[in-house]
Amino acid sequence: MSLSWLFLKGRRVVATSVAVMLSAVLVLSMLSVSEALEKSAEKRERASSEDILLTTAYLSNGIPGGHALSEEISSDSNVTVATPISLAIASALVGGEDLPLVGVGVIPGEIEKFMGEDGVLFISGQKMEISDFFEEKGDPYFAGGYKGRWTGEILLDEVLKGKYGLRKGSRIELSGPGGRMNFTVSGFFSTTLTGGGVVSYYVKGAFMVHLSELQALSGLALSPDNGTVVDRCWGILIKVSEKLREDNEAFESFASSLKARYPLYKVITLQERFKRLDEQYNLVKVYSFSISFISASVGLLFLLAIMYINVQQKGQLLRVLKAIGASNRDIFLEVYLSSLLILFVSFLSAILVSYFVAGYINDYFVSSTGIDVSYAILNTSVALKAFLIFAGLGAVLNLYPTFKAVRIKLEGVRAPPERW
Amino acid sequence: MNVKVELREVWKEYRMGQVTVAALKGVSITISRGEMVAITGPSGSGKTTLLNMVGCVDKPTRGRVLIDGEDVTPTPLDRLAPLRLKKFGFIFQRFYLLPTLSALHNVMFPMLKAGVKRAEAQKRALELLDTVGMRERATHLPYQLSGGEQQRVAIARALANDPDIILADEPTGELDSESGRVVVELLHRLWKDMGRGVVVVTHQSEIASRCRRKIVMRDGRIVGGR
Repeated sequence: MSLSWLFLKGRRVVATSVAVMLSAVLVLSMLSVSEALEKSAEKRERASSEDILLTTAYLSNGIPGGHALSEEISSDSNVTVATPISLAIASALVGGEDLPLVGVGVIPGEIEKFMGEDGVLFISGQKMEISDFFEEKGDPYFAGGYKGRWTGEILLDEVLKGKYGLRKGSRIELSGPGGRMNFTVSGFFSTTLTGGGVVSYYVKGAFMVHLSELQALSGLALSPDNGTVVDRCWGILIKVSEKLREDNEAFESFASSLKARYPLYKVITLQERFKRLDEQYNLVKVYSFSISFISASVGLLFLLAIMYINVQQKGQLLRVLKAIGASNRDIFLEVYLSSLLILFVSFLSAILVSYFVAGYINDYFVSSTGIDVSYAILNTSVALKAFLIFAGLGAVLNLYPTFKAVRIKLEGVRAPPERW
Repeated sequence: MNVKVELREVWKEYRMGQVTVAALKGVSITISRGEMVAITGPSGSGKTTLLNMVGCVDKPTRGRVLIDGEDVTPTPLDRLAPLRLKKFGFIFQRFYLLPTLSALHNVMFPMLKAGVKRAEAQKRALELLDTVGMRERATHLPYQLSGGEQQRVAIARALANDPDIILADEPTGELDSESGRVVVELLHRLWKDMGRGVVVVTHQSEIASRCRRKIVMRDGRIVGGR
């Protein structure tokens, strides 16, 4: 085979290659962000600390008698540990600013059993990397009927540490529906709790305190009517025994019995969360594939248009090729292979550029969220998917200018210039 | 082999809107290897169309074209590519060297298409460039060559597959007189020293006068010479 590479010369080819490359970079970036989103969320779910989450089924003030309910569930032989947790929004006056923060209330000694050895805790898929921990492992304020010892221990979001110069031992005042309370910083943690979604527009960081102290702060400890203990919490985290975890059927049966026992609450198993995650990511995949397809189409239609113009402009040279012995097959290869070569070179360049783009996206988001997870993954699978979209679409679209070239009539070859 | 091209009662008609224009009107002619033929006549007389028919790059509306006695009229033009490759060499008024290839590769191109091995094609291409006095400029791209030089490379390319007949369409039309003289001299040598058939379409009487046979055309008919 001998080709003259008639279409691979000049600035137009460079400009076309850059345009196709940019379109390929967009395809690769879309797919790599989608891949990272799926992988990191799946990783968080798989690393989830709890096997079952019991929470309120409807919008309400939470589960009343959280401590007692947790003890009741813990007494089941299938359960290793169950602990109540609470979530609430509170304001902190820091450096003259009134900061809305999202708070997590836990019983330290119990929540510790859900943590990995590396100090990582996943609650409902949200990651918390805890470097320092509470000194008081129990919940003394609750033990005294919400009149017990006030520990005032608080763990703060790393984001607040750098931004407001807070240190271990710093004093901080939080206010909520239950009043104003004082705390002393015991340590810091990084979290995905404030990393995305609508909540990130509102809250400026997160904190973690003893459960009963958060309940008091958020007005969920006592009844506002008569001051009796209500002990409302957001949910109960349940860790089942190893034996039950390995027996799928028994696990399902246990989850069903919990659902039957607590019909007013929502019992969510890890398996159910995986299923929901799959449904969500199918949507993400369809969306990212559609955007990738459109982007690839735009880039490749541009290539098609340029190749079409090239064929029109170099029609006389194509006739000359035919006159000096090139067959239709030769013309086909001349045009088609040129298109594909531009496509492949552009795609390879795009992989290189996308590698740096993915690195930049990761660096940017890791530094802004403080969470070291991948936000864009450019791996072989992503590159292969993008290549299949590109090559498949390119192979079809470029047939048009190619056949236009093949069909150029030889008859005009000897005509004088004014007839070309 | 003494190749012979025969045109028998060839008509070529073009549709231009509602009007049909006849570029050739029943032309019959025979051209053999070893002849140097000039086709002259005013613009629009059908010279180029006649050359198209001889070189099998166009098909007649009526009549027959025979190459060595074989009627090629019904054969599609693309199927005649191997025949054009081996029997004819083409020289164009505007040279039409492939701009992406060097002079050497332009000459090698038809040989490679004909299946000649690369090393052999290169050796022969250099010899041909030597013949036309362009060996020193073998590695130059077309834009680095003057018009006369490009036409000499085009002549070498036309000779690449050792064709029987060279078809030249106004080969000096774009050249200054000195370059034109060199090109005409080369074509003359192809006929006299190398025994090729040479068919030249030209307006220039100096070129026509150097040809043994002269065909004069007017209004799609041969009006002088045969």
